[in-house]
Amino acid sequence: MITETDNKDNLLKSPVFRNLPADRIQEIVRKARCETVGPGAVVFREGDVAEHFYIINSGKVRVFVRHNGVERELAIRGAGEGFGEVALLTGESRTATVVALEETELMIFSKELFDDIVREYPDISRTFMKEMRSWLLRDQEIIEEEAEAVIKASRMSWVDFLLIIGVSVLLALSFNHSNPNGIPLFPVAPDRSSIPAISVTEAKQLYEQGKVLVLDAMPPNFYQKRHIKGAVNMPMTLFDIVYLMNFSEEDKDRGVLVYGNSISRPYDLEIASKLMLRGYGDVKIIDGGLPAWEADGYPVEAMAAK
Amino acid sequence: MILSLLKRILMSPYLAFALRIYVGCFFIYASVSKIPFPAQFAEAIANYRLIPYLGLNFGAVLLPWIEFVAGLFLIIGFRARAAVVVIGLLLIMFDLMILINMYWGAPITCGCYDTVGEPIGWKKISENVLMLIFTAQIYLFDRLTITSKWGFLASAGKRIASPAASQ
Repeated sequence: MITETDNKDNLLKSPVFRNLPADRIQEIVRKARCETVGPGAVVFREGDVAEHFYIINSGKVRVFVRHNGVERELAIRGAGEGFGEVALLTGESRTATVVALEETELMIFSKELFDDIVREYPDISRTFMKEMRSWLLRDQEIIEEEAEAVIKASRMSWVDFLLIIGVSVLLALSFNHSNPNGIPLFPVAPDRSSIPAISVTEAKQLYEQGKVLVLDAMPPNFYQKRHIKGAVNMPMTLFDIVYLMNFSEEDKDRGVLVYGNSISRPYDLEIASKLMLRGYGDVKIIDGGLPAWEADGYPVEAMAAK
Repeated sequence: MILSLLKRILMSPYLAFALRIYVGCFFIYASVSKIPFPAQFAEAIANYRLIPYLGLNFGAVLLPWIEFVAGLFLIIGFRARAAVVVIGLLLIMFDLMILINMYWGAPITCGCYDTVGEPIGWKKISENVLMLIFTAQIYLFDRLTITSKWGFLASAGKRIASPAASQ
Protein backbone atom coordinates (compact mmCIF):
# COMPACT_ATOMS: atom_id res chain seq x y z
CA MET A 1 0.00 0.00 0.00
CA ILE A 2 1.34 3.37 -0.96
CA THR A 3 1.36 5.87 1.83
CA GLU A 4 0.54 9.53 1.75
CA THR A 5 4.24 10.38 2.06
CA ASP A 6 5.00 8.36 -1.07
CA ASN A 7 2.29 10.25 -2.89
CA LYS A 8 3.72 13.52 -1.72
CA ASP A 9 7.17 12.50 -2.92
CA ASN A 10 5.70 11.60 -6.29
CA LEU A 11 3.97 14.95 -6.61
CA LEU A 12 7.19 16.75 -5.73
CA LYS A 13 8.88 14.84 -8.55
CA SER A 14 6.12 15.65 -11.02
CA PRO A 15 6.91 18.59 -13.30
CA VAL A 16 3.40 19.92 -12.77
CA PHE A 17 3.47 20.27 -9.01
CA ARG A 18 7.19 20.59 -8.42
CA ASN A 19 7.04 24.30 -7.62
CA LEU A 20 4.09 24.23 -5.22
CA PRO A 21 4.63 24.84 -1.47
CA ALA A 22 5.03 21.63 0.56
CA ASP A 23 1.99 22.19 2.79
CA ARG A 24 -0.26 22.75 -0.19
CA ILE A 25 0.99 19.52 -1.76
CA GLN A 26 0.20 17.71 1.48
CA GLU A 27 -3.35 18.99 1.22
CA ILE A 28 -3.69 18.06 -2.44
CA VAL A 29 -2.49 14.56 -1.71
CA ARG A 30 -5.11 14.21 1.00
CA LYS A 31 -7.87 15.21 -1.43
CA ALA A 32 -6.67 12.95 -4.27
CA ARG A 33 -7.53 9.27 -4.33
CA CYS A 34 -5.38 6.39 -5.48
CA GLU A 35 -6.32 3.54 -7.75
CA THR A 36 -4.41 0.57 -9.18
CA VAL A 37 -5.26 -0.70 -12.64
CA GLY A 38 -4.04 -3.90 -14.26
CA PRO A 39 -2.26 -4.22 -17.59
CA GLY A 40 -4.61 -3.59 -20.53
CA ALA A 41 -7.13 -1.65 -18.43
CA VAL A 42 -8.62 1.38 -20.16
CA VAL A 43 -8.28 4.53 -18.00
CA PHE A 44 -10.45 6.54 -20.35
CA ARG A 45 -11.47 6.52 -23.97
CA GLU A 46 -11.44 9.11 -26.72
CA GLY A 47 -14.80 10.90 -26.56
CA ASP A 48 -15.48 10.19 -22.85
CA VAL A 49 -16.65 13.00 -20.60
CA ALA A 50 -13.59 14.33 -18.75
CA GLU A 51 -13.82 14.25 -14.94
CA HIS A 52 -10.29 13.59 -13.65
CA PHE A 53 -6.66 14.45 -13.95
CA TYR A 54 -4.09 11.71 -13.35
CA ILE A 55 -0.54 11.45 -12.05
CA ILE A 56 1.24 8.10 -12.42
CA ASN A 57 2.75 6.85 -9.17
CA SER A 58 4.15 3.69 -10.69
CA GLY A 59 3.75 1.76 -13.91
CA LYS A 60 3.25 2.86 -17.50
CA VAL A 61 0.36 3.91 -19.72
CA ARG A 62 -0.01 4.27 -23.46
CA VAL A 63 -1.76 7.31 -24.96
CA PHE A 64 -3.17 6.89 -28.48
CA VAL A 65 -5.86 8.00 -30.89
CA ARG A 66 -7.74 5.87 -33.36
CA HIS A 67 -8.38 7.18 -36.82
CA ASN A 68 -10.06 5.18 -39.59
CA GLY A 69 -9.43 2.03 -37.61
CA VAL A 70 -5.70 2.69 -37.37
CA GLU A 71 -4.11 3.42 -33.98
CA ARG A 72 -1.68 6.30 -33.74
CA GLU A 73 0.44 6.31 -30.62
CA LEU A 74 0.88 9.73 -29.05
CA ALA A 75 2.95 8.88 -26.01
CA ILE A 76 4.03 6.35 -23.41
CA ARG A 77 3.91 7.91 -19.93
CA GLY A 78 5.66 6.61 -16.85
CA ALA A 79 6.01 7.30 -13.09
CA GLY A 80 5.81 10.96 -12.06
CA GLU A 81 4.17 12.06 -15.29
CA GLY A 82 0.60 13.25 -15.66
CA PHE A 83 -2.12 12.97 -18.27
CA GLY A 84 -5.74 13.96 -18.84
CA GLU A 85 -5.28 17.73 -18.53
CA VAL A 86 -6.22 18.65 -22.11
CA ALA A 87 -9.94 17.86 -21.82
CA LEU A 88 -10.17 19.46 -18.33
CA LEU A 89 -8.57 22.69 -19.54
CA THR A 90 -10.63 22.96 -22.72
CA GLY A 91 -13.85 21.63 -21.18
CA GLU A 92 -14.31 19.22 -24.08
CA SER A 93 -14.46 15.43 -24.18
CA ARG A 94 -11.35 13.23 -24.11
CA THR A 95 -9.14 13.64 -27.18
CA ALA A 96 -7.23 10.37 -26.79
CA THR A 97 -7.47 6.93 -25.22
CA VAL A 98 -5.25 5.85 -22.33
CA VAL A 99 -4.51 2.20 -21.60
CA ALA A 100 -2.30 0.81 -18.83
CA LEU A 101 0.65 -1.15 -20.18
CA GLU A 102 1.44 -2.81 -16.86
CA GLU A 103 0.07 -2.73 -13.33
CA THR A 104 -0.16 1.00 -12.79
CA GLU A 105 -0.88 3.02 -9.67
CA LEU A 106 -2.66 6.28 -10.45
CA MET A 107 -3.27 9.33 -8.29
CA ILE A 108 -6.63 10.72 -9.36
CA PHE A 109 -7.67 14.36 -8.99
CA SER A 110 -11.27 15.43 -9.38
CA LYS A 111 -12.16 18.15 -11.85
CA GLU A 112 -12.98 20.52 -8.94
CA LEU A 113 -9.62 19.98 -7.26
CA PHE A 114 -7.83 20.41 -10.60
CA ASP A 115 -9.69 23.67 -11.28
CA ASP A 116 -8.89 24.93 -7.75
CA ILE A 117 -5.18 24.25 -8.21
CA VAL A 118 -5.07 25.94 -11.62
CA ARG A 119 -6.93 28.97 -10.25
CA GLU A 120 -4.74 29.21 -7.19
CA TYR A 121 -1.40 28.79 -8.98
CA PRO A 122 -1.53 30.39 -12.42
CA ASP A 123 2.09 29.31 -12.95
CA ILE A 124 0.87 25.74 -13.28
CA SER A 125 -1.14 26.78 -16.32
CA ARG A 126 2.10 27.61 -18.03
CA THR A 127 3.35 24.06 -17.41
CA PHE A 128 0.13 22.69 -18.86
CA MET A 129 0.43 24.97 -21.85
CA LYS A 130 3.89 23.55 -22.55
CA GLU A 131 2.39 20.11 -22.19
CA MET A 132 -0.36 20.88 -24.68
CA ARG A 133 2.17 22.33 -27.06
CA SER A 134 4.01 19.00 -27.01
CA TRP A 135 0.79 17.14 -27.85
CA LEU A 136 0.25 19.55 -30.71
CA LEU A 137 3.75 18.95 -32.04
CA ARG A 138 3.17 15.22 -31.87
CA ASP A 139 -0.08 15.61 -33.84
CA GLN A 140 1.74 17.60 -36.46
CA GLU A 141 4.45 14.95 -36.68
CA ILE A 142 1.83 12.26 -37.26
CA ILE A 143 0.15 14.29 -39.98
CA GLU A 144 3.46 14.85 -41.73
CA GLU A 145 4.51 11.21 -41.48
CA GLU A 146 1.16 10.06 -42.78
CA ALA A 147 1.22 12.50 -45.67
CA GLU A 148 4.70 11.34 -46.53
CA ALA A 149 3.63 7.69 -46.43
CA VAL A 150 0.69 8.42 -48.72
CA ILE A 151 2.92 10.21 -51.18
CA LYS A 152 5.47 7.41 -51.02
CA ALA A 153 2.84 4.75 -51.65
CA SER A 154 1.22 6.62 -54.51
CA ARG A 155 4.34 7.88 -56.18
CA MET A 156 5.29 5.81 -59.15
CA SER A 157 8.09 6.46 -61.56
CA TRP A 158 9.62 4.83 -64.59
CA VAL A 159 12.39 3.61 -62.28
CA ASP A 160 9.87 1.26 -60.64
CA PHE A 161 8.96 -0.29 -63.97
CA LEU A 162 12.59 -0.54 -64.91
CA LEU A 163 13.24 -2.27 -61.59
CA ILE A 164 10.44 -4.82 -62.08
CA ILE A 165 11.47 -5.60 -65.66
CA GLY A 166 15.16 -5.57 -64.76
CA VAL A 167 14.78 -7.98 -61.86
CA SER A 168 12.60 -10.22 -64.02
CA VAL A 169 15.11 -10.27 -66.90
CA LEU A 170 17.95 -11.02 -64.50
CA LEU A 171 16.09 -13.88 -62.83
CA ALA A 172 14.79 -15.21 -66.16
CA LEU A 173 18.21 -15.29 -67.81
CA SER A 174 20.04 -16.82 -64.85
CA PHE A 175 17.32 -19.38 -64.22
CA ASN A 176 17.04 -20.36 -67.88
CA HIS A 177 20.81 -20.78 -67.95
CA SER A 178 20.81 -23.22 -65.04
CA ASN A 179 17.48 -24.89 -65.87
CA PRO A 180 18.02 -28.34 -67.44
CA ASN A 181 14.88 -27.61 -69.51
CA GLY A 182 16.25 -24.23 -70.58
CA ILE A 183 15.78 -23.11 -74.18
CA PRO A 184 17.90 -20.98 -76.53
CA LEU A 185 16.73 -17.40 -76.17
CA PHE A 186 17.08 -16.28 -79.77
CA PRO A 187 17.08 -19.36 -82.02
CA VAL A 188 18.17 -18.83 -85.61
CA ALA A 189 15.21 -19.11 -87.93
CA PRO A 190 15.53 -21.97 -90.44
CA ASP A 191 16.32 -20.82 -93.93
CA ARG A 192 13.22 -21.01 -96.07
CA SER A 193 15.13 -20.89 -99.34
CA SER A 194 16.99 -24.11 -98.47
CA ILE A 195 13.87 -26.19 -99.03
CA PRO A 196 12.09 -26.23 -102.38
CA ALA A 197 8.64 -24.70 -102.42
CA ILE A 198 5.74 -25.40 -104.72
CA SER A 199 2.69 -23.31 -105.56
CA VAL A 200 -0.78 -24.47 -104.56
CA THR A 201 -1.74 -25.00 -108.20
CA GLU A 202 1.17 -27.36 -108.75
CA ALA A 203 0.55 -28.99 -105.43
CA LYS A 204 -3.06 -29.57 -106.43
CA GLN A 205 -1.96 -31.36 -109.58
CA LEU A 206 0.38 -33.69 -107.69
CA TYR A 207 -2.30 -34.18 -105.06
CA GLU A 208 -4.84 -35.24 -107.67
CA GLN A 209 -2.44 -37.71 -109.22
CA GLY A 210 -2.30 -39.30 -105.79
CA LYS A 211 1.43 -39.81 -105.86
CA VAL A 212 2.38 -37.58 -102.97
CA LEU A 213 1.95 -37.77 -99.25
CA VAL A 214 0.56 -34.50 -97.86
CA LEU A 215 1.74 -33.66 -94.34
CA ASP A 216 0.10 -31.13 -92.05
CA ALA A 217 2.83 -29.90 -89.66
CA MET A 218 0.54 -27.79 -87.47
CA PRO A 219 -0.24 -28.81 -83.86
CA PRO A 220 -3.05 -31.41 -83.66
CA ASN A 221 -5.72 -28.94 -82.47
CA PHE A 222 -5.30 -26.87 -85.62
CA TYR A 223 -5.20 -29.99 -87.79
CA GLN A 224 -8.44 -31.24 -86.27
CA LYS A 225 -10.15 -27.95 -86.98
CA ARG A 226 -9.32 -27.96 -90.69
CA HIS A 227 -6.73 -29.51 -92.99
CA ILE A 228 -6.18 -30.43 -96.62
CA LYS A 229 -8.41 -33.40 -97.35
CA GLY A 230 -6.51 -36.61 -96.80
CA ALA A 231 -3.46 -34.92 -95.24
CA VAL A 232 -1.65 -36.68 -92.40
CA ASN A 233 -0.94 -34.74 -89.24
CA MET A 234 2.75 -34.74 -88.37
CA PRO A 235 3.49 -32.29 -85.57
CA MET A 236 7.06 -32.15 -84.28
CA THR A 237 6.10 -33.77 -80.98
CA LEU A 238 4.70 -36.84 -82.76
CA PHE A 239 7.32 -36.99 -85.51
CA ASP A 240 8.68 -40.45 -84.71
CA ILE A 241 5.31 -42.16 -84.37
CA VAL A 242 3.89 -40.65 -87.56
CA TYR A 243 7.16 -41.45 -89.33
CA LEU A 244 6.91 -45.13 -88.39
CA MET A 245 3.33 -45.33 -89.58
CA ASN A 246 3.70 -43.53 -92.91
CA PHE A 247 7.23 -43.86 -94.19
CA SER A 248 9.34 -46.77 -95.24
CA GLU A 249 13.10 -46.93 -95.55
CA GLU A 250 12.86 -48.44 -99.07
CA ASP A 251 10.98 -45.58 -100.64
CA LYS A 252 13.15 -42.52 -100.09
CA ASP A 253 12.12 -40.98 -103.40
CA ARG A 254 8.51 -40.68 -102.42
CA GLY A 255 7.08 -37.24 -103.01
CA VAL A 256 6.17 -35.37 -99.82
CA LEU A 257 4.33 -32.06 -99.57
CA VAL A 258 4.49 -30.24 -96.25
CA TYR A 259 2.45 -27.24 -95.13
CA GLY A 260 1.73 -25.40 -91.88
CA ASN A 261 3.38 -22.13 -90.97
CA SER A 262 2.65 -19.26 -88.62
CA ILE A 263 4.31 -16.04 -87.59
CA SER A 264 5.45 -17.75 -84.38
CA ARG A 265 6.79 -21.00 -85.79
CA PRO A 266 7.74 -22.38 -89.20
CA TYR A 267 6.30 -25.85 -88.52
CA ASP A 268 6.58 -26.82 -92.20
CA LEU A 269 10.29 -26.01 -92.38
CA GLU A 270 11.03 -27.94 -89.19
CA ILE A 271 9.33 -31.10 -90.48
CA ALA A 272 10.63 -30.79 -94.03
CA SER A 273 14.25 -30.36 -92.97
CA LYS A 274 13.99 -33.27 -90.56
CA LEU A 275 12.68 -35.50 -93.34
CA MET A 276 15.44 -34.35 -95.66
CA LEU A 277 17.98 -35.23 -92.98
CA ARG A 278 16.58 -38.75 -92.96
CA GLY A 279 17.33 -39.01 -96.66
CA TYR A 280 14.10 -38.11 -98.36
CA GLY A 281 14.95 -36.27 -101.57
CA ASP A 282 11.57 -35.11 -102.82
CA VAL A 283 10.26 -32.96 -100.01
CA LYS A 284 8.49 -29.74 -100.93
CA ILE A 285 6.69 -27.03 -99.05
CA ILE A 286 3.31 -25.80 -100.21
CA ASP A 287 3.68 -22.06 -100.68
CA GLY A 288 1.03 -20.19 -98.72
CA GLY A 289 -0.05 -23.35 -96.92
CA LEU A 290 -3.62 -24.05 -95.97
CA PRO A 291 -4.96 -20.48 -96.39
CA ALA A 292 -3.79 -20.32 -100.03
CA TRP A 293 -5.11 -23.83 -100.65
CA GLU A 294 -8.49 -22.90 -99.25
CA ALA A 295 -8.56 -19.58 -101.09
CA ASP A 296 -8.30 -21.46 -104.38
CA GLY A 297 -11.28 -23.58 -103.38
CA TYR A 298 -9.41 -26.86 -103.07
CA PRO A 299 -10.80 -29.60 -100.83
CA VAL A 300 -10.37 -29.39 -97.07
CA GLU A 301 -11.90 -31.35 -94.22
CA ALA A 302 -12.31 -31.21 -90.46
CA MET A 303 -11.49 -33.84 -87.83
CA ALA A 304 -8.85 -36.52 -88.09
CA ALA A 305 -8.51 -38.30 -91.42
CA LYS A 306 -8.54 -42.05 -90.99
CA MET B 1 -27.32 3.41 -46.15
CA ILE B 2 -26.43 0.04 -47.67
CA LEU B 3 -25.16 1.86 -50.73
CA SER B 4 -22.84 4.06 -48.72
CA LEU B 5 -21.58 1.06 -46.75
CA LEU B 6 -20.91 -0.75 -50.01
CA LYS B 7 -19.10 2.30 -51.32
CA ARG B 8 -16.97 2.45 -48.19
CA ILE B 9 -16.05 -1.21 -48.51
CA LEU B 10 -15.23 -0.91 -52.20
CA MET B 11 -13.03 2.11 -51.60
CA SER B 12 -11.39 0.67 -48.49
CA PRO B 13 -7.61 0.42 -48.37
CA TYR B 14 -8.07 -2.82 -46.44
CA LEU B 15 -9.94 -4.35 -49.38
CA ALA B 16 -7.09 -3.11 -51.55
CA PHE B 17 -4.66 -4.90 -49.25
CA ALA B 18 -6.65 -8.14 -49.39
CA LEU B 19 -6.84 -7.90 -53.17
CA ARG B 20 -3.11 -7.26 -53.35
CA ILE B 21 -2.49 -10.54 -51.56
CA TYR B 22 -5.02 -12.37 -53.74
CA VAL B 23 -3.87 -11.02 -57.10
CA GLY B 24 -0.21 -11.38 -56.08
CA CYS B 25 -0.65 -15.03 -55.06
CA PHE B 26 -2.62 -15.71 -58.22
CA PHE B 27 0.15 -14.41 -60.44
CA ILE B 28 2.88 -16.20 -58.53
CA TYR B 29 0.85 -19.40 -58.78
CA ALA B 30 0.41 -18.90 -62.52
CA SER B 31 4.12 -18.26 -62.98
CA VAL B 32 5.60 -21.15 -61.02
CA SER B 33 3.86 -23.71 -63.19
CA LYS B 34 5.41 -22.15 -66.30
CA ILE B 35 8.91 -21.20 -65.15
CA PRO B 36 10.42 -24.72 -65.10
CA PHE B 37 9.18 -25.66 -68.61
CA PRO B 38 9.85 -22.78 -71.01
CA ALA B 39 9.71 -24.98 -74.12
CA GLN B 40 6.14 -26.08 -73.41
CA PHE B 41 5.13 -22.52 -72.63
CA ALA B 42 6.74 -21.33 -75.87
CA GLU B 43 4.53 -23.85 -77.71
CA ALA B 44 1.48 -22.48 -75.91
CA ILE B 45 2.36 -18.93 -76.97
CA ALA B 46 3.14 -20.10 -80.51
CA ASN B 47 -0.44 -21.37 -80.70
CA TYR B 48 -1.66 -17.78 -80.41
CA ARG B 49 0.20 -16.97 -83.65
CA LEU B 50 0.81 -13.37 -82.59
CA ILE B 51 4.42 -13.31 -81.38
CA PRO B 52 7.11 -13.45 -84.07
CA TYR B 53 9.45 -16.43 -84.14
CA LEU B 54 12.47 -14.41 -83.00
CA GLY B 55 10.80 -13.10 -79.84
CA LEU B 56 9.00 -16.31 -78.95
CA ASN B 57 11.58 -18.10 -76.81
CA PHE B 58 12.72 -14.96 -75.03
CA GLY B 59 9.11 -14.09 -74.27
CA ALA B 60 8.43 -17.58 -72.97
CA VAL B 61 11.42 -17.34 -70.64
CA LEU B 62 10.74 -13.79 -69.48
CA LEU B 63 6.96 -13.52 -69.13
CA PRO B 64 6.53 -15.97 -66.21
CA TRP B 65 9.28 -14.15 -64.32
CA ILE B 66 7.58 -10.78 -64.83
CA GLU B 67 4.41 -12.36 -63.42
CA PHE B 68 6.39 -13.72 -60.48
CA VAL B 69 8.27 -10.52 -59.64
CA ALA B 70 5.21 -8.25 -60.07
CA GLY B 71 3.14 -10.64 -57.92
CA LEU B 72 5.79 -10.72 -55.23
CA PHE B 73 6.23 -6.94 -55.18
CA LEU B 74 2.47 -6.55 -54.95
CA ILE B 75 2.26 -8.81 -51.90
CA ILE B 76 5.16 -7.33 -49.97
CA GLY B 77 4.16 -3.78 -50.90
CA PHE B 78 7.46 -2.89 -52.52
CA ARG B 79 6.85 -0.68 -55.57
CA ALA B 80 3.31 -2.04 -55.35
CA ARG B 81 1.74 0.63 -57.52
CA ALA B 82 4.05 -0.03 -60.44
CA ALA B 83 3.61 -3.77 -59.93
CA VAL B 84 -0.16 -3.49 -60.12
CA VAL B 85 0.13 -1.44 -63.31
CA VAL B 86 2.38 -4.11 -64.84
CA ILE B 87 -0.14 -6.80 -63.87
CA GLY B 88 -3.01 -4.76 -65.29
CA LEU B 89 -1.18 -4.31 -68.58
CA LEU B 90 -0.43 -8.05 -68.72
CA LEU B 91 -4.12 -8.83 -68.16
CA ILE B 92 -5.15 -6.45 -70.94
CA MET B 93 -2.56 -8.06 -73.23
CA PHE B 94 -3.80 -11.57 -72.38
CA ASP B 95 -7.41 -10.59 -73.03
CA LEU B 96 -6.54 -8.99 -76.36
CA MET B 97 -4.60 -12.06 -77.46
CA ILE B 98 -7.45 -14.34 -76.47
CA LEU B 99 -10.06 -12.10 -78.15
CA ILE B 100 -8.13 -12.04 -81.42
CA ASN B 101 -7.83 -15.84 -81.38
CA MET B 102 -11.50 -16.23 -80.55
CA TYR B 103 -12.26 -14.02 -83.55
CA TRP B 104 -10.09 -16.26 -85.70
CA GLY B 105 -11.83 -19.26 -84.25
CA ALA B 106 -8.50 -20.76 -83.24
CA PRO B 107 -8.90 -24.09 -81.45
CA ILE B 108 -6.29 -23.36 -78.79
CA THR B 109 -5.94 -23.68 -75.04
CA CYS B 110 -5.14 -20.79 -72.76
CA GLY B 111 -1.69 -21.80 -71.57
CA CYS B 112 -2.35 -19.62 -68.56
CA TYR B 113 -1.28 -21.98 -65.78
CA ASP B 114 0.12 -25.07 -67.40
CA THR B 115 0.63 -26.56 -70.80
CA VAL B 116 -2.61 -28.54 -70.89
CA GLY B 117 -4.89 -25.72 -69.84
CA GLU B 118 -8.49 -24.90 -70.52
CA PRO B 119 -9.71 -23.75 -73.92
CA ILE B 120 -9.93 -20.01 -74.48
CA GLY B 121 -13.36 -18.43 -74.39
CA TRP B 122 -15.63 -15.91 -72.70
CA LYS B 123 -15.08 -17.59 -69.33
CA LYS B 124 -11.39 -16.85 -69.50
CA ILE B 125 -12.02 -13.32 -70.75
CA SER B 126 -14.39 -12.54 -67.88
CA GLU B 127 -11.99 -14.03 -65.32
CA ASN B 128 -9.31 -11.70 -66.61
CA VAL B 129 -11.69 -8.72 -66.62
CA LEU B 130 -12.60 -9.42 -62.99
CA MET B 131 -8.91 -9.58 -62.14
CA LEU B 132 -8.45 -6.31 -64.04
CA ILE B 133 -11.14 -4.69 -61.86
CA PHE B 134 -9.23 -5.91 -58.80
CA THR B 135 -6.06 -4.28 -60.05
CA ALA B 136 -7.97 -1.04 -60.68
CA GLN B 137 -9.24 -1.10 -57.09
CA ILE B 138 -5.70 -1.63 -55.83
CA TYR B 139 -4.37 1.15 -58.05
CA LEU B 140 -6.98 3.63 -56.85
CA PHE B 141 -7.39 2.81 -53.17
CA ASP B 142 -4.24 1.14 -51.90
CA ARG B 143 -3.03 4.00 -49.74
CA LEU B 144 -0.66 3.14 -46.94
CA THR B 145 1.10 -0.05 -47.61
CA ILE B 146 0.72 -2.22 -44.53
CA THR B 147 4.44 -2.63 -44.20
CA SER B 148 5.02 1.11 -44.04
CA LYS B 149 2.25 1.33 -41.47
CA TRP B 150 4.05 -1.16 -39.25
CA GLY B 151 7.28 0.67 -39.82
CA PHE B 152 5.59 3.91 -38.93
CA LEU B 153 4.21 2.58 -35.64
CA ALA B 154 7.54 1.13 -34.68
CA SER B 155 9.34 4.39 -35.33
CA ALA B 156 6.64 6.37 -33.50
CA GLY B 157 7.06 4.20 -30.42
CA LYS B 158 10.77 4.80 -30.35
CA ARG B 159 10.53 8.54 -30.73
CA ILE B 160 7.84 9.00 -28.08
CA ALA B 161 9.94 7.57 -25.29
CA SER B 162 12.26 10.56 -25.32
CA PRO B 163 11.31 14.23 -25.78
CA ALA B 164 7.54 14.63 -25.49
CA ALA B 165 7.24 12.84 -22.20
CA SER B 166 10.15 14.27 -20.26
CA GLN B 167 9.99 17.96 -20.13
